[in-house]
Amino acid sequence: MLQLMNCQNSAYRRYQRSWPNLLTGASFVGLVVMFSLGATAADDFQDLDTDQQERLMRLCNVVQLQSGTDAFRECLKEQSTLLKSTQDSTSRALTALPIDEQFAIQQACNNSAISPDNKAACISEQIATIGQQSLPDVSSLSTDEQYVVAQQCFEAQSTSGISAYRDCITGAMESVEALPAAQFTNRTATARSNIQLECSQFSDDVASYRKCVLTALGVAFNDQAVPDVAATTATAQVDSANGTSPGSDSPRLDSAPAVIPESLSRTRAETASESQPTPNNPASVDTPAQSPALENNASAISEQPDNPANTLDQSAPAATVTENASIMDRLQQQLDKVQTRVAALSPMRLIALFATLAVAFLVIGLTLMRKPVKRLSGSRNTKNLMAGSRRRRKRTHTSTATDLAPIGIESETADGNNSAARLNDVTENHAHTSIDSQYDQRTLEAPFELEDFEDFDLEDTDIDSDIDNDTASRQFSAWLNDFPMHTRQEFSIELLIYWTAYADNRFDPELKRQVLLMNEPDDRSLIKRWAFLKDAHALSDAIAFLQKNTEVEQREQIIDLLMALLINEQALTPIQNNLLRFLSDAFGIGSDGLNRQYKRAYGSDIPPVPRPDKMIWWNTITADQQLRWDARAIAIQPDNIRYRISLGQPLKGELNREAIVASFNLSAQRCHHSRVAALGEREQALMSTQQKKFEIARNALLELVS
Amino acid sequence: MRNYFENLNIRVTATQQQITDALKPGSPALDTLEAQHRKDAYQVLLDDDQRQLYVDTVMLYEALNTASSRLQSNGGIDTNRWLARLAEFDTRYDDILAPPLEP
Repeated sequence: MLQLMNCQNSAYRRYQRSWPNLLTGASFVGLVVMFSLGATAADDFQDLDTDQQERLMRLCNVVQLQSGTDAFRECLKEQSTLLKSTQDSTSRALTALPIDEQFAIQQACNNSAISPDNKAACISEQIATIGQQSLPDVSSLSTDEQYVVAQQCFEAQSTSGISAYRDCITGAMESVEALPAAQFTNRTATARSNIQLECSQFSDDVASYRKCVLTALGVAFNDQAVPDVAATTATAQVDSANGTSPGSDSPRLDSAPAVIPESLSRTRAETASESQPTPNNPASVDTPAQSPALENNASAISEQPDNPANTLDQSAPAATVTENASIMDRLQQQLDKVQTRVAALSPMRLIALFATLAVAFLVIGLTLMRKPVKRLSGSRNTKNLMAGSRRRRKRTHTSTATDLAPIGIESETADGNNSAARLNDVTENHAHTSIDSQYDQRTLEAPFELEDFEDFDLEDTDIDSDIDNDTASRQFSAWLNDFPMHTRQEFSIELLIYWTAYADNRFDPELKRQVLLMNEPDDRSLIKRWAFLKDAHALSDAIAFLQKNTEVEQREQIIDLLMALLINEQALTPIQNNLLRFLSDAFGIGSDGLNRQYKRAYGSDIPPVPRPDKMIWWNTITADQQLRWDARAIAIQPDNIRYRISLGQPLKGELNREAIVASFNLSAQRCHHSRVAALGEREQALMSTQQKKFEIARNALLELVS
Repeated sequence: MRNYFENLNIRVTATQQQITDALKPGSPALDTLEAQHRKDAYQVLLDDDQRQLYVDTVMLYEALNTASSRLQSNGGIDTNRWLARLAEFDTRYDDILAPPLEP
């Protein structure tokens, strides 16, 4: 068809000059003539969009002028059928590919240099390039490794076309063939997450990543047998750029998330089982027991799960893998990469980059100049952590939506994206020390210097036990009484929110440290302190206030609020379960009432009272369930997984559009502001913000399905 | 919810070694546990993941125990049988007369 169009181009141009008026009536003429076409040809013609119909009519008008109406009709018929069949076959071939490969093709053909007319041809050409190439199978990699591969090949995927993308994946797979699989058996989930997180930060490719993990696990491997993955990947990309990559002259340097193959959606919980020794991979049975020196390093990681900074240093075995463990080498690699990328930037991007850096330095400089620096007293006075804003007495507190943000809202502003799945960022925020934009700001303004932390080791100081609960409690009651009635209610509810959020111990320890160390915390930071300290007196005071000063309807809505803000579908943790049951009794709602509310919110009965002290209870808990409970592990999952968790979808396998929509509808009802109409504006604003996060999750998942 | 830490006379923050020692056959504290509870304690306390969640729950129960004692005069109901659960959890409170929980 394209050849035919080219052949007739000159005739068409002559026609266009001579008969401009006829063009305006082409549609009408086409419609009239269509009646005389055969049924199939007419269907084909009608199936085309308006632009294509007009183009064909213009094309065939030339024939009509030269050879008459019959020839015109025949031309339309032939061209319609030809165009339709080409589109159909291209479309079929495209949709048969995995979504990540479709993305690679679309990116390659989505270039402004390619006219809309040639886009279909570009897609066909892209599909043709993979001809006999087999589909890379990444299923032998663990979930986290698949994610690294996706990142590693993102540039090829987004700029160089499908063939280069496949070459990149194949190269990545070959690069780890000689390495033993990583086994996380006998590692705690936290230790596993720490290793994975640390290694993902220091690795650009899957081979480096696996070597890093193996090093951390204390597994020996032969580094010499591993091919140079960087060279492999680079070669693949260069080959492609020279060949079949339309518009790839300016590589994308941004770090937009890659479209991840569906197979990457398997859970981290599967990692251990996936990493079992295989007959083809005898090296993977290298156990720590065979290398005692390595075992010591590995156990060091396990014993300090919450300190990722320790993991690499402590885990570097003295023997076989010193080269891999060298952080300096990795830093040098990172530096080289940055230099390469900067060198490849266009002048405009360079200017933008320098302008951004200049503004950032200016802001930092101004902030430092403006702020007087106070030092912490050396007395480590943790007894008086609740004293802080007592001088702010009897004032009226006014809430606004931007002033809110105890739960979830803040994570969106802090991270800028990925918000839907980070509903519980309050508890899960592992890598970003910020809990919210409000918190970030106050952290920056915290009156201490960094060096204060160096000799102020909270790990040595048992803050929790140093706090006198009676004192803290009296302070909470007295503190609450300083505020007007509606603010007391708001703060009591807020304490319940934070208490429930932090009770799972899934927060970043650094966050707790910083909140507890604030010299002049504001009201909300004070509330966070009570929650961080699991202050039972503050909890009972808040409950007692709400018992006395709210109606039954309001107390039911407080339960609704806690569920909407903190609990994803199928992700009620045992701690949350216990707390909800305790609150429901304290609020006079009872077990049956709570179950009714839970069922309305999630469509199923609330799970029975958890018994983590009994084997029989543990035997009912799946790995899938445990991952859904582990907010900090969720935080390091790819977006795809976190969105699935957010909407209670299966963690692996195909997604179902109806199930996604149904879950979203439940969450939308759960988070509707009318559910807390009897509470304050603040609670309603929190619900609305939460609802938006579910919308993001739904949209992302539906995009995957489509 | 049974409080194995209290039963075994060790702290919630006990190290793996301290827990292992407390669970050794012949340990005086271990003898106070019934056979099934002993099995449960072995599994729960010697598995890192299970122990972490168990410790979190123990700390929650401690807080709820305190809160419950302060809230008793404020009304509320006990459809979830907190009095019995907390009595099972904290065996030091002999004065709490709560119906025993089903096994």
